[in-house]
Amino acid sequence: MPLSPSDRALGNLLVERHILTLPQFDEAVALAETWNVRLGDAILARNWIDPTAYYQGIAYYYELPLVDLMREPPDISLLHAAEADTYARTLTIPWGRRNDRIVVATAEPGPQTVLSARQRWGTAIEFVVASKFDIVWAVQTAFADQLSHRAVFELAEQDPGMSAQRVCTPGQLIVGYGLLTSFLLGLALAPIATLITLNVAMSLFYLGNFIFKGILVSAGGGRNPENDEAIAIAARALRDEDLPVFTVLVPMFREPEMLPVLAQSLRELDYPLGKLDIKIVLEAEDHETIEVARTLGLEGVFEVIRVPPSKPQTKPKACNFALRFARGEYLVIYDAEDRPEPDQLRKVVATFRSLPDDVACLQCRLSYYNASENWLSRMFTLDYALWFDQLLPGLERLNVPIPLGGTSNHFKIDILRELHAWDPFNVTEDADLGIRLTQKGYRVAVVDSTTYEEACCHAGAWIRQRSRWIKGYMQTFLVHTRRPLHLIRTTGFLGFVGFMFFIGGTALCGILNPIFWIIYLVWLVAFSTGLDPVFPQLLLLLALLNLLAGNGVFTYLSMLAPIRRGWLGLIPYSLTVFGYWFLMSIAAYKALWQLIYSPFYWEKTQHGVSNHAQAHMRAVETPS
Amino acid sequence: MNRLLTAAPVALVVFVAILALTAFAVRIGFIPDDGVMLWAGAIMAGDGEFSIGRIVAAYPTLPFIATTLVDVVAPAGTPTPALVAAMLLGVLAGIWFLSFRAAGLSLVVAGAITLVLVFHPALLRAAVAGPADMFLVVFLYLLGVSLYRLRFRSGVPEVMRVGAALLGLTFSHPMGAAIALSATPFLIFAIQPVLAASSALNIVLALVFPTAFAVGAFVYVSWVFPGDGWSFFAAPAEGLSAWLAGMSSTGLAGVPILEAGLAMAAALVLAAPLVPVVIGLVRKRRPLVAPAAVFATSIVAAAGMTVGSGFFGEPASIAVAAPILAAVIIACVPIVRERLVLVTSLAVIGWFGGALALAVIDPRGTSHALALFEGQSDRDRLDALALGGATIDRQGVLVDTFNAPAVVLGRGAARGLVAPSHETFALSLLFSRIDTPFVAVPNPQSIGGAQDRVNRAFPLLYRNGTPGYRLVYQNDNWRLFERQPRASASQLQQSTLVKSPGTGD
Repeated sequence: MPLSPSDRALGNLLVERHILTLPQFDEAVALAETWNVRLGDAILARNWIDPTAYYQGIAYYYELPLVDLMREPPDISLLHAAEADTYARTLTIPWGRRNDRIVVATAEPGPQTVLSARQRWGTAIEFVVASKFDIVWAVQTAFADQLSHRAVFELAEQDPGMSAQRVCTPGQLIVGYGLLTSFLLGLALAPIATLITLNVAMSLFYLGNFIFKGILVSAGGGRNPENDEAIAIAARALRDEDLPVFTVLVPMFREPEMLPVLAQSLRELDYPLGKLDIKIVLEAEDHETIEVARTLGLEGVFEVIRVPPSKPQTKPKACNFALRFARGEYLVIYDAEDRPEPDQLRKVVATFRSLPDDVACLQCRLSYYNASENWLSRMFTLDYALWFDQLLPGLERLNVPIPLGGTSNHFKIDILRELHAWDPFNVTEDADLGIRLTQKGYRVAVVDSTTYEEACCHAGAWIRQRSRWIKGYMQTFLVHTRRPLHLIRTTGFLGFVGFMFFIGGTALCGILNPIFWIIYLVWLVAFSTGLDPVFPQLLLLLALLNLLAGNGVFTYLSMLAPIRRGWLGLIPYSLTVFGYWFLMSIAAYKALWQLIYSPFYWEKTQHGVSNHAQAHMRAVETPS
Repeated sequence: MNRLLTAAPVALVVFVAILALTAFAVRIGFIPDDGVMLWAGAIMAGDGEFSIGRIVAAYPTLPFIATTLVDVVAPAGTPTPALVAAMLLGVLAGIWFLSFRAAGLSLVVAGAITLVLVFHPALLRAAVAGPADMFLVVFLYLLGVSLYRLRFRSGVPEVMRVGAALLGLTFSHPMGAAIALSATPFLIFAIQPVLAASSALNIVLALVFPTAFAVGAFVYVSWVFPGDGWSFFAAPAEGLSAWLAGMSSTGLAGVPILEAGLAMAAALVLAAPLVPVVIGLVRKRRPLVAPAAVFATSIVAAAGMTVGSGFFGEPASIAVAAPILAAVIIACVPIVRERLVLVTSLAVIGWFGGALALAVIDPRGTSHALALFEGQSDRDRLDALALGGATIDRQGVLVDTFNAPAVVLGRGAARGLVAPSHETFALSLLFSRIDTPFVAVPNPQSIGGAQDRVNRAFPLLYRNGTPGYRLVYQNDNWRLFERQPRASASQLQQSTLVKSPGTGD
């Protein structure tokens, strides 16, 4: 689309004032026309000039004063908390009063801004120019408390049944208490029958769990690769000018060393930088990372969102806070160490456009770039390959609610806001949101694009991370089983069964496994007959089936998992998957403990510790 | 759904025809030993005469479980193995028909070739042999098709299919286990070269893991429950000896392993001439040649390995490989649709060749079948069946059903028999004291009579009877005694053998 006359005049002015060189101007014009963005977005997407100089040029062009909102913040009495989102998205904010006229600060002066400002504040207005960074900062500062409150409590207040703020409802406690009492009563009155009943229940759960996972892998493996190829072709065919603005949220905490790597990964995305609305979301107290972000000289499309301190200090709360400032049509979350495949955003846009409107979220595949670091990273890679390459596509095909995983989930931003975004009290807010989306009548689909992450390669860090995930699954299970009938009605029977096995089963397996291992070892080593009454022959058979077929099936599924990516070297490691399950059980018990004593505590995973990540960081810092 | 409906008539015709054939074979006593044991075991399991442990440790597992389940739901007296075999072949015929249609063959040609292949002599032999052989057929076809798919796209579903086929083969039939084992080293050639070059052994590991793990699990379960986890490793040696004896009459090389391999290779060419012809036509297209080559090599190697190792029984069962490979080729090699006349002609020639191939690969079985169909019945088998019939309505019959499973078939039920799995049976033999209402014993001179546990414990029982028991039934090979009331001691003393043959009650 040709450049507007005002943008062209602005560009000429910048060249005349030696803010921009002529070749830069020509390139900016070409980019703006190709991307279908304003000239300013194209200029800020390149690191040619200091953004302040750009805004000085704008002010000069429009003959408006340039104000520094950090030094001269807006008049609080003119601001309304309910409009905070609008200020941030339109980059226009009432700044003060002068001669009974409202002075409006804007980063994007022009006819559209004048029109909307008049609609909002009347005709008695005048304008000043402020940088978009200042406006965003001013909104954050002015509404820190309100936005923070919304970030923490919006879901709990608007849709309390879906919030994990309360770990258990009174009804759940009563049911749990009733079950425990019945069990104890049964032990007292008919101990063998009670233990057999418990044993049957657990054995049936195991049986169902491995059969269900086997079905998922089979269904997921049957995904038609031609569809993925069609999406890839459609993504390549998308014209830059037709692409929407895409918000990228990158929540970080005390990871200053990861910033250059992150910026590099985002620059490598095959998406017009001028259409990226990148928010680096930092805790306000994380001065070190904020300082690095400030001094790194990032392009103007990178914005830093400072999240005011409040409890719980979790990633979803930070994302909720940053969501208020998002300007994109779609939104994605990446972790600091993520390396998405370059065409991922294009594929997401193409997929969204090819699917029905009720698809609200697309989950990309996750994998690890440091798989070969050590045994744990290899097993973790097998685990992810099974989860994202086999099980999630299976869930999608069977129309079972998909628990979103970690990062690289892409949302339609309007629907995300409609659902009150993430639950800050849930430590696997993504998994919870996936289920909530389904319950609210939306669907989640899987995209054949991979984001590579850094696998935890130290057992301690791995257990901490996994314990958070399992705790989050426990929270998610408790939240969505508060109204079982509603869950069945909204997700369907298969969805309900899938939820029970996939969310409940994942957490419960880690808890139950050691119990059965111990029983088995006692029976095997001591040739004890003491357990015989609890294992009548049919049940013994079922238990043996679970032991043998269950372990066999899960080992086999791990074996199959790396085949899709051609990582055949990982196949033999699946024979050691038992050791990985052992670690998983340790994490499960830690998760259970934390669920009781500190349910909202966020076990932070430290990134950039693997040899591979460190080598990459060095490479980014010292380009050849 | 419509596609399935088009296959239904084919499947139904095959089912009815095979059921009639196998039921006739049962009626004239032409049931292979394996089939009798399977059927009897199924009846006993269905009647609760087997412990669960014995059921899960039974081998070949799949046919045993299938036969047991069908026997439980089928009306009494139904020839269950025949029913299961007919059902399997009917379903397979439907699958073949659909596969041939999907490969581009017209309705008529697909139907005709399906019928020619399904009624191939080797498959008729398998149907008569019973569910184990039919399961072997089904999984052998799955293996063949899966190998082609694996070569086309070595993805997860393809790997799973080959894994499932090997697993199914192993637990269908001892020869299936032999084929799974012999195929393992050749699987590399069925994988896409890119993957094979990067990590061939690892992907083979993924292909064979389900089978290896399941075999380990099976052995373990057999160890946990009373049973013998290694039984399937040592199929009846006499079967192999008899097969070798039959083979020696053909005048082949004289080296058993070579003989078996050569016989199998010859059977493949004779019974499925379309395989070498079609493969010759596409010889420059390796993805179409490699899976067939892997399949054929595995079959020949399995025959040789079976004879060489002494495990897995006799290799005659893999005569079915020829028509199956022919079906695989028709379903998977695209050139077939362009040479319909040639392919149809070769399929028909293969039918006649199949009869000849059976004579090569299973000379003993062929002559036995011919004799039976010419009216010479299997006297031993029929007598055991008749004895079983005589025990109907009699409860507490001490009889070695492990040695003579046909008795269970003749009775149609196991409940009421005191079989070797019973404690009473063991105690009777241990203390040389019979205390059951009835006792049945075979003629020690008959085939298998000497191995009968009751005969060995009571060597004079057949000839002299035993005090307190009177003869109530006999035929050429069996006698059935009934315990006399204890009321009169003089009567006990007078209990004697009724010598007139053919006496029954």
